Amino acid sequence: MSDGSVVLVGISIVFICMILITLVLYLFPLFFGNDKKNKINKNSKKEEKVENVVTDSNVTEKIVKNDDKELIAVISAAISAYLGSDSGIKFRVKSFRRVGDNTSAWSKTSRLENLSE
Amino acid sequence: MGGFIDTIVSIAEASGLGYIINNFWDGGWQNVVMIVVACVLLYLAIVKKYEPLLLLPIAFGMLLANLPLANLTSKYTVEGLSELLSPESLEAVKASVVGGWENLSESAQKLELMGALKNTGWKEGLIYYLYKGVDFGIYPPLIFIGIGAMTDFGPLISNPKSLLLGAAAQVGIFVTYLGARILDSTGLIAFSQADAGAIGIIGGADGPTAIFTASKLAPELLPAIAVAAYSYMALVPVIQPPIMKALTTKKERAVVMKQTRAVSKTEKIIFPIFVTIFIALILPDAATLVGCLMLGNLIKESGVCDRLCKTVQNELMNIVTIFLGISVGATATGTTFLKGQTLGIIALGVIAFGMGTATGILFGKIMYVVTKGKVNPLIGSAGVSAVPMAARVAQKVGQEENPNNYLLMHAMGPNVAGVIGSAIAAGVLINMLG
Repeated sequence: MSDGSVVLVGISIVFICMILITLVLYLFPLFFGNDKKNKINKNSKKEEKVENVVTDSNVTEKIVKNDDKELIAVISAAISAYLGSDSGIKFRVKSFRRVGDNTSAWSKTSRLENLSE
Repeated sequence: MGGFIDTIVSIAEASGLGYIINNFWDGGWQNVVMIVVACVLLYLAIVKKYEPLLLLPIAFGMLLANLPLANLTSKYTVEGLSELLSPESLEAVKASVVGGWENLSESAQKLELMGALKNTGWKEGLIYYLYKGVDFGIYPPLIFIGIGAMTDFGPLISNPKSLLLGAAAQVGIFVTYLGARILDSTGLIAFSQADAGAIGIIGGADGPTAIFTASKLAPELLPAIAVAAYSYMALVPVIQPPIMKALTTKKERAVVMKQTRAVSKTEKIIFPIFVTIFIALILPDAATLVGCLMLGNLIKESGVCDRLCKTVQNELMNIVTIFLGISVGATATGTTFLKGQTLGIIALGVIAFGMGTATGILFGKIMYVVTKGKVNPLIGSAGVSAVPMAARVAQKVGQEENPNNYLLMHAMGPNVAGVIGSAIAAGVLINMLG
């Protein structure tokens, strides 16, 4: 095989393979983007839970200090990141309270591991 | 007293130092030069931090292999094995060959000599057996499993055009191939087509791919190619920026790209399975590297193999890296490394990296025009598969023009596409030239 042929055939095959993979990848969202629908269903349930927790709380901190505003911003950002920026769900944190947690470090770790599986 | 001195002298003469002194002009000087080269590479790895994870084992392997009589080479030569036998034993071995010693192939001569040596209680050294992993093409695919487990193909899946930039950067491989063949045609340095293919793959900027290809196409050039590949990968932040700035305008470099879409977990799981099936069916010679890359990625993305993922990312990578580095470094003896071809490889290596960057940028400019300014051409330079260094360089050069421009995730797409592209290019070269 001449050197010119090696170069031409080599470049062509690399480009053809990559172009074909590119074309298939453009079809991916059509067939495999269903995670979005499942996420929206799960997140709307979670949102209801969040609202229930918020409205059921006994704490009525009506005076919002600057520190609390920053904390609200952080909590809102964390919930947004979890829901995903394109999920289209809008929410507002109305109030929050720290839940007293007397569980041991062992229990907390096992809880986190179960959540992450 | 005389007997005591005689014993000391005979021990001294049998030592490595004695070997170098007695044979200095007959090859001993090569050992000295290679020990110095190994120490320089150790300096670069430890003090300058040039890809130390690979360069340090490679440099140390080089050092071990060039300490005479230590039996720590990756490969044996007929000359080296002949020196280990006494002159009488050597003559007896040659005389015992039916059909004449000169008519035997080199590998058959080595087998005869090793058989004779084993009768004296000699055994092959440690690194000879460690090198089998390189010789049989085992270590690079295992490293690719680890690389796949550390790669996120999300930026690529969300912006499939990145694959084209990854393909464009691999043109540098074939331009370097031509450069090696031109050098050969001028008569300056002899490079066969297989040699040129192995040298060209340096342009893929992927260490395991370079070692895998060189072990198949040009095993005698492996040490120079490995040292060149890893040294230049460490120099990506030095080599790329001048080429990127020379080929782009300020306006092009300042382009801010739109945020890419989120990629679902299903897509990330289907991607490695699909790519493996596709590439293996079209180009079986690329299946080893691409398949292992995608296996590692699938182990990570599936989320059901956490323990395997941790092992593959850490223990497997580290163990194989050590074995690969030592055994590749140990192939760099004076006879294999101190040749004109090594200088040619070092020069061609820079051309390979430079051309890969240039072709990636040029294709990025084409995409900039076609998309009417939506694609920043700088991300084309990340198509060389030095992950994540090349993407960071694109980010840095972009930020010099526009401090609020975060190109890193956009550049990661072509960067990981380049890994796939260089594996495909390697498969093509092995198919055509192997």
